[in-house]
Amino acid sequence: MPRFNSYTLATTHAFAASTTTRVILPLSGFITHIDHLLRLNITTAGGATVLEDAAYRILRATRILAAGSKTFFTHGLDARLWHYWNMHRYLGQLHADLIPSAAGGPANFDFYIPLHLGFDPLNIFDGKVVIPARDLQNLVEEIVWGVSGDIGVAQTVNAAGASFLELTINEVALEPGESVAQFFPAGFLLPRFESRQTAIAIQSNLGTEDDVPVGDTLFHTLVLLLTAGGVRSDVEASEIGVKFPKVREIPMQMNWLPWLYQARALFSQPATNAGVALFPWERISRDPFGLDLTKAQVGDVKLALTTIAAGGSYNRLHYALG
Amino acid sequence: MAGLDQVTEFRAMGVPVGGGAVLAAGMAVADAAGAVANKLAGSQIGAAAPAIGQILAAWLFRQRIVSQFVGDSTADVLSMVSAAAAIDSLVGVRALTRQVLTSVGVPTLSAGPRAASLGQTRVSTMPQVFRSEVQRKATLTRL
Repeated sequence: MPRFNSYTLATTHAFAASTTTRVILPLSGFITHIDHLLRLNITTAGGATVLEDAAYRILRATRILAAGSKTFFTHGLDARLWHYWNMHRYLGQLHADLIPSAAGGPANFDFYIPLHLGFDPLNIFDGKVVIPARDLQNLVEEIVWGVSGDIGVAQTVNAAGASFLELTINEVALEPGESVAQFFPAGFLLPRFESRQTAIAIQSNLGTEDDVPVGDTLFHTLVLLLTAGGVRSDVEASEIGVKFPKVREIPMQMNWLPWLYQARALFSQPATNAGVALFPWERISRDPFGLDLTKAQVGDVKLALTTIAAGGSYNRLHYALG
Repeated sequence: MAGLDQVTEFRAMGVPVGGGAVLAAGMAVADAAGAVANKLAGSQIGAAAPAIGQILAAWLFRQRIVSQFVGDSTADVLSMVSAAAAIDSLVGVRALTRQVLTSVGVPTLSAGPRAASLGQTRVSTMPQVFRSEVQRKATLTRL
């Protein structure tokens, strides 16, 4: 029986504006889930404002890397992509303190951002998809920090150890004498994330297209539409759909708002999240493990929008397995 | 010792290895005898034809001209195998025994060990069909 370990790392990502920090991840087992606690120590001056999803904007990029150019997690834009992917997986039950606009502080504000790789987010040790840390070298998590202005006007995020991102590792570690083949007889599944951004121009009939990543099995895609000002928006697109150009099929073409409201219902969201929803590829493939694109070529599958306002951005976080 | 008796009576550390080999060969001979009889008289006497063919083979192996040719011990083994095949054809002794063993929890071998060791046939593994490689890996993961 392997050991199921959970431990918080002593080293954190310490906030310093516009810096990149690295935390070395342990190489003792198979990492199934990493809990991230984002603590922001904020001083609010008079006349302050708070931007939408402010706390997640300050994490400009996150990557989990290992020697040999191996990337196990990445997101662009900022952590809003990551956060809303989590919101849909955890039914909106993610701790997030409310950052005030009234003068005050300094005070701590906490935000919980899990990274769960497997199919069952409620099973912390779901070993179906893992980062095989024990077989890797130089495994690190890298954060690109933003600036205080990402939170809002007249907000100061205090550095010097007061604001940080803390990691708790959840892993399956084999006992002496146990072999990988005992628990992963067919090998293990590895995560692959791809984050993309496209500037929106007005396009009719699902004309704004994204060629989804191929070569693996596509599990989830988080779609996030932002205005030119960077605010989530439902007025950038009127339709969303999936196209298979080679076989001349459009298995899904539906209006944006019904799709958004449907996502709220399907993933038990506490409120409708404007401009953002999770697309589970199971709805196209009817396979709970996603859409198998191992033999597909780029352009075979397109996640497309009918866009009705120019200037904003079409952001995606693709999650594939292979 | 005449004929094949040198082979039949060969023992290694007391184990009748030669007898076993002749026994295995005799099964094929008994099967062939049953098949020939079935072809000749199967349409007339139905399921009894193979058994009659095998009884005939058992009797033939005990005839002097045959036993002198293959050797007494060899003729005895071949006759015994044919008789066993005939009884099995009529009564189904092997199937009955297998059924009893299964009912008390003893697993039965569905493919020969030789086939298994050569990797030609997998023994006691249910075939599984997976829709994708991801499903295969995820389903087989034991965590």
